[in-house]
Amino acid sequence: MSEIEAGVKPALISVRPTTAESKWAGKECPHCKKPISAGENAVLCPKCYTPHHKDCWTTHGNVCGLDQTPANIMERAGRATSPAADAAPAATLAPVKAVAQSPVAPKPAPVKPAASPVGAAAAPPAAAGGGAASARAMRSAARRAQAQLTTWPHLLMPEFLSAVLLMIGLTVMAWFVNAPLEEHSNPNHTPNPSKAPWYFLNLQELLLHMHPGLAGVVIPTVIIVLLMAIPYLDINSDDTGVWFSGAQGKKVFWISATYTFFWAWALILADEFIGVRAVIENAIPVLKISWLSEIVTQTMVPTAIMWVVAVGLYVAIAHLKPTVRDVMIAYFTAFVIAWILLALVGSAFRGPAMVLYLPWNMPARIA
Amino acid sequence: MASRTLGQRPPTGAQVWDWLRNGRVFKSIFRYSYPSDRRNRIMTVAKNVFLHLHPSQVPRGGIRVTYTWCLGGLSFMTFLMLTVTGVLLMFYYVPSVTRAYQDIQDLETVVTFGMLMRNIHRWGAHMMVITVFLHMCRVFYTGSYKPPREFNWVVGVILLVLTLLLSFTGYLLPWDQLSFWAVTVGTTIGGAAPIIGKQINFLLLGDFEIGQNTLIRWYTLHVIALPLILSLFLAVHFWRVRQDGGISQPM
Repeated sequence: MSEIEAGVKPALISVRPTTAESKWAGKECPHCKKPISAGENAVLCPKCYTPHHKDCWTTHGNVCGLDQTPANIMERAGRATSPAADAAPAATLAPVKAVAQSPVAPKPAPVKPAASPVGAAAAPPAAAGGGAASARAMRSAARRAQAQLTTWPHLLMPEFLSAVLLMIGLTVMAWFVNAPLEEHSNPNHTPNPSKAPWYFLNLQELLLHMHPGLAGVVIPTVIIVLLMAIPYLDINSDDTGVWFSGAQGKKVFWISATYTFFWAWALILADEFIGVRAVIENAIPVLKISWLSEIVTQTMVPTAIMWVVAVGLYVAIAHLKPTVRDVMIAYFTAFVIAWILLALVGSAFRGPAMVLYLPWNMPARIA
Repeated sequence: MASRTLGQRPPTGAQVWDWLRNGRVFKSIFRYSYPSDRRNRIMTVAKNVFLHLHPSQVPRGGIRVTYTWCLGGLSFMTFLMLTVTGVLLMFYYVPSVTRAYQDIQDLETVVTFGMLMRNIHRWGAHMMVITVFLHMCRVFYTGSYKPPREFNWVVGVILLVLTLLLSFTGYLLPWDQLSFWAVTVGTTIGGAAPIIGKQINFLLLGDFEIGQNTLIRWYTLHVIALPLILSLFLAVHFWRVRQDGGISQPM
């Protein structure tokens, strides 16, 4: 280690005022073994980020108390800050950097607003800290202060390891499980059942219940368009990066998942054992005419049922006073659950002539 | 070292290592020392063509494995594996209705590691559909599609569709009963589009039924057109991750 670092110039680090919110507040300084409390000036080791008192750092030869990394404290003459910022250290990070450090008398001019976004937003702390703008500034300052890790090795190592694990896993599976290869294709001999690849079996399942144009073209197109529209409908970024946007979203997820699971199965079973189309056509014989059947029983009725189920989902979560994000979670979850469930039914529950079987009673495919 | 004179000691391992690591050749390839300190770590990423799509520093919260589950990276890695195995398969596969099936059988029985390549390609294709779908779920449930990342979400949806199309076009190539009838079912679904159904069906098949025209169409899409389009959107996708603020994390 020392060989590599020999000859490297010591890094420059800056003084940071400690506030109650600072991550290092209350941490022990490795030089004097005393906690760093709010109001004191601190520096962070450039290598291990261990906090030290600023004075301890200089009196101990400008090295880290833990790993002896040398670093000099940055002197920026002339970048003194306004007394206002000094009085409200909680709202500022950047402007105070040089305050205790700089021997130069503070200039009368306040911090340049253009110095940095943090400084700009924090410049008027006299505004009693209220307002959305300053709240946003606080957040972004807190975010900036969040630890940044170097991509090597903190990101690249997990990426590399997951890639290696994937290669090993896939190779091991490929070693033991052979890809299927059936007889030479024969246009004159249709296997029963003939199935699409598994990721299209959800569409093939829909095909059993409605007009092929609706199942195979309209619904997938609508899904793709709606998926793309999500970020233009839900534009509030406040809860970015939080799984399910919190407890309420999780609740919405479970309600929607249960609701969709129940309805998807109910509709599949109802159509299989009652035969919705036959029931309607027997009740109103005129609908047996081919083009009328296509329009009414194969298109309008399934569309109406899907609308009712979709609106029902909103009703099911309405008592939670859902936000836009909650509504998005509800419908996206409905899509995911329905999509997986239908693909599963198509793969494991549909036997010859696409009749519903339990997987363990499934007759052999008539190849 | 050839000029070593009599009686001189042979170089120690450490000396050889040092000569290799600090010699002109090595230094011309890798400009920076082993990335053990902050400066070299940052330079290693920023100055490397393969790594520079990454930012040189990342926020701690954004790279938790339980946050990303590595799903985007796994999808990309699967795509790379599919490209490599796919190229190897192309050496042996001729997209002709008279040869295709026989070529697959030869791959399985005659070609060294042919079966392994085919298996990796097949299971990798399924894997990629799954990881891309799960990646979409991860991005949705963490709210990572929200502004300013809305366009990258749209690119992601396009990538999902392209993944499905790539997988489906490859499905026909073995030219066995499974692929033939799966594609029959699939293209019949496409042919059910209102008004222009027949035209779409003809476009997909290149004929009125699945045959040589279909095979060459789907082969060309599978090995050239779709991978190129996917790579293009991948580049945009990766680039925009950085441009739109890196891996999402709580504000």
